[in-house]
Amino acid sequence: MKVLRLELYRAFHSRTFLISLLIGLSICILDLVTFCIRFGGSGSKVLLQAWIGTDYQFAYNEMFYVLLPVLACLPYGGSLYTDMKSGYDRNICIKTSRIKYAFAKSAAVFISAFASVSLPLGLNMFIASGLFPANTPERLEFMSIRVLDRNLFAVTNSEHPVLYCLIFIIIDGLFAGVIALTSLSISKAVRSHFTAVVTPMVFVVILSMILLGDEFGNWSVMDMLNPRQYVTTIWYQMLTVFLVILGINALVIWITSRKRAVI
Amino acid sequence: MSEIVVKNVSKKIKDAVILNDISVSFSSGRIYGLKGKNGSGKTMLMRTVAGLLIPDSGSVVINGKTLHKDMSFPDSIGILIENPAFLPQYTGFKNLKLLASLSSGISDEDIRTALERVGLDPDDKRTYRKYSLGMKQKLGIANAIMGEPDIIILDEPINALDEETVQMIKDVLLGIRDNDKLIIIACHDREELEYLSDVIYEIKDGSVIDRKEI
Repeated sequence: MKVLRLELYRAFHSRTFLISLLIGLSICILDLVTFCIRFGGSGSKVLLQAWIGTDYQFAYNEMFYVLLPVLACLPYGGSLYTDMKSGYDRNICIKTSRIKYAFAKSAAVFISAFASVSLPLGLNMFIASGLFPANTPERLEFMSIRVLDRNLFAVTNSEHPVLYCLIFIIIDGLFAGVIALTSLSISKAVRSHFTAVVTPMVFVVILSMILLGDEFGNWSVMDMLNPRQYVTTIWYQMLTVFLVILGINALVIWITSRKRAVI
Repeated sequence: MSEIVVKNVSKKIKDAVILNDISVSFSSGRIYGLKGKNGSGKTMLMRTVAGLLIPDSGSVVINGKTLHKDMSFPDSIGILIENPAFLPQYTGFKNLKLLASLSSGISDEDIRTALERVGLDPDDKRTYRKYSLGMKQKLGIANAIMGEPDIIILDEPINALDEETVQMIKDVLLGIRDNDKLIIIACHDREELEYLSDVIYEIKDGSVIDRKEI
């Protein structure tokens, strides 16, 4: 599809994608450097202690996961707002249907958000796995990830740490994609590019506080994305939250795009 | 060969009547001028014909196909409506190349030709951000005429252009018309509009009040 190719090109060549990637990479590299300075020489640390997703010794993990919605929306989430505001969408909507344009825009937003979150996490894991062995950390050792048997992928965490990291990198990337779609769905309602990019983060933070998890399970997006899993998430809760966010965004984008007046 | 028939089109935006039961027709090989005061509905009519605005009632039929029913957008159209809008980080050529990628059969040579016809240098390395107002307008026209689409819609195309360029654009448009293309143009300058147009529709309060053959 020609319009999808155009939107992907625009998304991955945008300055905002580069900025988002640089922020994510900076946090991930700083985490690893700090970890190496502090524990690099001890020889007893393993991948799951060093990887930013499961490292809870430093604040970088929290920083990355709090900023995740912004890292997701920043690359291309505000582009529909910008296109409508500048009138660039006129150039496109005379050459393709509104629905195809909306689909291509959504796909580009989703994929760029996935990349801007997954690449820093992946690079951090790649470097960490070169420096530290992929053994299971001792359960009682200080700084060990507290993934218990009732948590998601507990067996994978013990037996295949690299796979555990990869699974969460993909999950985080997918959630970043659907969170970024929120920027698109609110584009018609907001009055600035900044609002379009930041509002999803506000939604995620407020909803996560309201739906904060307890021993019976967790519906909070912020908590369920963190591979440290300090709050137990059950697989169907994660799937439900993902599908609800995706469904609402897809519906809003479809309704608002279908007969949109391109002014 | 193109024919556009606008049948009893009405459009309201926030309770304001923008187009009021308007019926006009356009056919290829001619330039149609739209005349009227600001807010009379010229631009909205252009948007409706381009498929950017969906009418509340009535229809726009292009070559026998009804817009938004048989097709989502006209098959071959170039537009410049209000301000030209391009990506500021790219050159003029790159901008047109990106937009040309949405159409079939527009080559790099066609893009270069379109830029040269409006007096822009295809090899200019300046980004759109650094273009003057006149250059932006020229790029907007180049985008509309790139690949010589069957229908060209231009809203105030000679705004911000110097006399020499205006003459150049007029010659280009007359040349395109002679290639059996359909051109709809809105312009505040009555003399220029009459020089260019074969037919002039006068629009007032969203309705056509006069049709004049030149």
